[in-house]
Amino acid sequence: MKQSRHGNLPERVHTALADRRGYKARARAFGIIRPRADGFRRRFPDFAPVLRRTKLAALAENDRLVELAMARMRENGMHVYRANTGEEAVAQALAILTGPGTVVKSKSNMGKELHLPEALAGQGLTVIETDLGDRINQLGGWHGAHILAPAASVDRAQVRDLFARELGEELTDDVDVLVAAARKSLRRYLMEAEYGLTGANAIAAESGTVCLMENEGNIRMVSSLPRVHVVVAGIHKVVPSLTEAISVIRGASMFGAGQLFGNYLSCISGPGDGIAGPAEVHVILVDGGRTQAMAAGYTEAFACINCGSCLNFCPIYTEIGDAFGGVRVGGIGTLMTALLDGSAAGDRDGAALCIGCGKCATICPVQLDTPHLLNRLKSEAGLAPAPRLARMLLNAVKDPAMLRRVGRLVRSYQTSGLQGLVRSSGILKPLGLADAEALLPPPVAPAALPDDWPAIGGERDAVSFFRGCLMDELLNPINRDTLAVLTKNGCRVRTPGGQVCCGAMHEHSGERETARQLARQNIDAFAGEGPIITNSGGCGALMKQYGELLADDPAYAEKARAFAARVRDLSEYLVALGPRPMKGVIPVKVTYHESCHLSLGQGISDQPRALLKAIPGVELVEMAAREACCGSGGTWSMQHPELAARLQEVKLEDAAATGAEVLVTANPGCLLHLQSRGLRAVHLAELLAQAYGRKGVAE
Amino acid sequence: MMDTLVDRAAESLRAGGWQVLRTASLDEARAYLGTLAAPGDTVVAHESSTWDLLGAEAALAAKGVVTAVYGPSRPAATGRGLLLQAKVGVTGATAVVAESGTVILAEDDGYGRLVSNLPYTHVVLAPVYKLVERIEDGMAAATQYARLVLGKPTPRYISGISGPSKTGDIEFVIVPGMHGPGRVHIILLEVSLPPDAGEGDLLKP
Repeated sequence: MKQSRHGNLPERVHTALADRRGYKARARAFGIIRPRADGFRRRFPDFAPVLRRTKLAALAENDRLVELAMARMRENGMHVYRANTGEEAVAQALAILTGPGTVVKSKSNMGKELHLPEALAGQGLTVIETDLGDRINQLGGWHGAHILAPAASVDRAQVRDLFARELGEELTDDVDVLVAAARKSLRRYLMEAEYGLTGANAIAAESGTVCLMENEGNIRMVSSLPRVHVVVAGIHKVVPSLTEAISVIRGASMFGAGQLFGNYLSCISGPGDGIAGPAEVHVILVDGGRTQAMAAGYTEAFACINCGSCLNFCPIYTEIGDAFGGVRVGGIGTLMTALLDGSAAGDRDGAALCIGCGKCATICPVQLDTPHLLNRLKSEAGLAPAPRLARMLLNAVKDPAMLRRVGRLVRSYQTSGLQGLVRSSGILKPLGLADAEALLPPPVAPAALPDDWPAIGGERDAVSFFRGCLMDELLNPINRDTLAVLTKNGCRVRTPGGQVCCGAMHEHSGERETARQLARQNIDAFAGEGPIITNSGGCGALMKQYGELLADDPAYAEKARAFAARVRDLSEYLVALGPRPMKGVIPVKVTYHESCHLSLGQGISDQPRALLKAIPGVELVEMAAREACCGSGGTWSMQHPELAARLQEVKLEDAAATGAEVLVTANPGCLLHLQSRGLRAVHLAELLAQAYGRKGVAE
Repeated sequence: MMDTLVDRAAESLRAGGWQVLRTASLDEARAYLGTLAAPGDTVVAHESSTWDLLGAEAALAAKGVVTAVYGPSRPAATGRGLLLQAKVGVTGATAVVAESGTVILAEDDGYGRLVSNLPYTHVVLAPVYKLVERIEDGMAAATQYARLVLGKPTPRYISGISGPSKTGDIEFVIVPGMHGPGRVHIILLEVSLPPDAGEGDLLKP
């Protein structure tokens, strides 16, 4: 359980993947919290967009609000400080908590950011964590960062031993007994402590109020019993008034804790009489690089309300827990660390581990798009540089000639029989290429696609086809199937020359400029009108964002928006058009894997399923975790092979459990990833083409 | 049949772990309170009009229960002593939120926080006219109370209490009574506001 926070990343991931107890604890907790949070999201569909606007508006006038909050809190009799750096904040805290004595503290992200407990201990103070999970970790000398379940990997016998030693009493394994023991032990510290230390969920500027939410009641104790209450909080926690503060707390309650409203709310607007409330309240507002990061265009990151919902849904965090991060955890944590402490710190904590599935953004109470911000930091600040192998691929796919050469190499390697030999010999292992090799698809013969193809059975529409780099070079028959499906449905299909790779893998790997250049080439190649059809979820997701990608390019901004508006996934397009009846019967039981870039990136989830159900003979059975990421993520799986293999394994087990004979997906990355371990995985277009008689395109 | 506000509140409160008594009878409310403390026990209260209405202090004293009342008009001569040994803490409410089953308590003195957090049992006395629909309404009641009764824009403390103190930190088993009360009761008193009462009286605990 003890982990080095600075160990090298693959090693850390390896250790975390081996900790099955930790995984099971997370899976159990997330199994409870996910449906609750998702339920609130559906019940209050306007909540997140409104809270997002609220927080962004507050951040837009952060300077004014912080000044107002400081003035109002001072009028209320509180002592207020603004610390520009973490060092200043710690110095200020040490000047207030002069020691010796006891500090009782509640959970605080800012406390962690400042390493404040360590600094206080260094001044001779005894720091006592009062949240039970944190206290367990403190007594055991363990690390645990998840807000929801800091001691998730500890069992009751370990807890018994800790509190038996602490109290000098015999205890049983009964959880009620253990909680009673913890209450008794902690109550002693709470009664005698000179200082109480908390964070803040929100600070209401107009009324000068610190707002806190919790379940255990320790925050109420920490903020009422000691003589001195110290609050440490980032400047981004300031909102205009109590109204917005309560919205923040509702968001944290519903999305983070899965409750309509948290168990205990405390709104504190001043010091007390020294008996019923602390005689002194000190509030330290910490900038710590936030103003600078916001000025650099990353304001959105600070709309985060620290509820932990993203962690509960993150496929990577679910697998490896706190190994995905350092002082701060998960995608948002590593993003924050990269913004505040620099890219090297972000890399050390594992910013590269974000697979970019976008699940976090869908379930965030402020709709924070962490993968998008991480991608921007990759290209603007050199975060998570792509390793050599991934760079080679990125270079190859952007250049059609190079791509063809690589494709030929791949095919000759596959057909020469060398593949089997090399695979069995393990010769690639020392080169670090073994897992990348496993990504290679079965050998296929390349064939040029026709540039223009007439509709069959009466023309209903004229469309352009985006063939994609991987699809075209490695999965060429699927492109032919796609053309067959389109023509059979009455589409005249043009496949413009001059089109190139969409740039998605580059955008995700910090090569934004390359992505922009590729986007311009595609926009030029597809000049004209009518739908642009793609059979790749990943390509579609990025091409629909070309408008944003080129928003600051005066020559292309307008054209990019127009292009993006024309992009359709094959399934999206067919369902909207109304698919013609399929005559071919395919008696097969299938399960559908939805690519994150299709379902989350484009909101296309029902259409592929509707088409599958329309195929005579096909029976569709759903996986238990139908939304789970497969671990492909473009070049991500090359960078994190062990983790990718785990996600793939989980996905394939889930698929096997359905009893399906075939796994269907609609994204080449997922398809290559899921084919590579033996299961029969096909692209939706392949089944559709078969159902339509596969005669639309000359063979 | 349409659920009334009281029905909905009672349902949310029960779901949140509150023991709910709905009654129009002051005798029944008094008797219920009496069952929560044994002779020799200490009951601390945060001053509220309902506590006075019930004559709770005299009723409990007659039973041999030690009582102490804290609040703005009762100078706290006893410090925290009785608060620490009390078995039961009794408070009023500024508002009770039906949607989430949350008791809102606004105050300037802070004793309401201690009374509702230190003893293992917390009892809320709330006339049904304290019921509001949503948490935002509860917060509005708290600030209105500050303006009308305390003569300031915001009370020093606003507490929201949605059930017993609880933790799930040991193997995800939810256990009540981690730091604050493990047992919480609310008496929803089905009485009306006296005809001569002002708006401030509606909001006073």
